Parts: sequence; structure tokens; C-alpha cells
Amino acid sequence: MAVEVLQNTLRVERTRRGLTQEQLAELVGVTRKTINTVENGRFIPSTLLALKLARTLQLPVEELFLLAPALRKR
Amino acid sequence: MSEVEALDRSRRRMLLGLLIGFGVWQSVSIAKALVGGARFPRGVYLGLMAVSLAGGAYWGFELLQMLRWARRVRRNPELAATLNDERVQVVRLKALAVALVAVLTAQAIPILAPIPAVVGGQVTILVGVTVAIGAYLTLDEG
Repeated sequence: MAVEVLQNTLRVERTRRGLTQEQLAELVGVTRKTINTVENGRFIPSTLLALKLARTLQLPVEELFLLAPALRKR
Repeated sequence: MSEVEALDRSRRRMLLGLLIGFGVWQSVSIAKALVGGARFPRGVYLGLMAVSLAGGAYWGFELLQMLRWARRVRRNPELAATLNDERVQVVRLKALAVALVAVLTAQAIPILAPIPAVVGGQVTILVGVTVAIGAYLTLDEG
């Protein structure tokens, strides 16, 4: 089975809308650090938070979060 | 800076204060108990007492600040939910798990080194509290 990792386009979509991490955090009701760690891939959000982020950025959730094949070490 | 960001920063500052205060207070107290207070020259003993008391007082001060902070946050459920979002809850759980491992590991100390049971208890509490707070502060960086 292929190994996949979760990636997201949160930083791109947020900056496209001219929002700071703090402003987006306020809109979805989390701390700025939570947005930062999601953007950096250090924290995987729950389905609830992923849906809230997608709704706030007016995007389908699968455009914000996507599965990508993991890079394999040789 | 938003209210949430300001409160989040003050929480980190208070936790750091609690960590330093408790660490100093208990470490000096444990060192005194292990060496035996009577073996210290009077000046050194009084100095250690002063450092230990200052650590305890600082810990008490930060604890009061933290209680005031918690009371202020509790008055606003929306603010409380934001400051305890899902990432914070995960970080808190991970920090407690790290502290549990540290406490279990610390149980080996009385086996390896014969120390009085009271001091062993103090070491367990010191390890549990400081590792839990330290792990939270480390994992919470973002």
C-alpha cells in the first residue's frame, strides 16, 4: 500500500485573501499558534477544524487538505 | 495584539514563572535534606534558606496570577474555548504523558541511591511538576 501524507494549502489560501494568522485564528476560534502549526504540518487538525477552516476560506475541504505520496528515502 | 494572543503569551510567562519558582524552591529544599542542614556553615545554610524561600514565594505569586488569569478566562466561554483549542488540549495531554514517564523513571532513584523516603517523595513531585510544565512549554512553541 502506498504511503501517503497529509498536506495543506492553508498558508497559500490565507495569504491570497490577505489574512494574517491571527485574523484567521480569530475567525475560526483557535489560537494563532494552532494556525501556524497546521500550516507547517506540525499539527493535524480534527475534521471539525478542517471544515471550519474550509468554510471560512470558502473552499471545499479537499482543496485545503490533500493526500500526497510520501517521499521515500533511498 | 488581540486579547487571545495577549492571554496566550501571559499563560506561557506564568507557566515559566511557576516552573522556575517551584524548581528553585524544591531543588534547594531537596539538596538541604540530602546533605543535611547541620553540615553547612551557618552563612551558607541561611543563604540556601533565603533562595528556597524566594523560589517558594515566586511560585506562590505566579500561582495567584494564574488563578486570576483562569478566573478572567472562565468568565468568557468563547475566550476559554479559543485558549483551550484542540491543539492546546493535545499539547497538554502529551505533556502529561511525558511527565508520567519521567515520574516512573524517577522511581528508580531510591532504588539506586539510598535516600530518605520523604526526600524520595519530594523528588517525585519535583520531577512530575517541572517535567509536565517544561514539556508543555516546549511542545506549545509555534
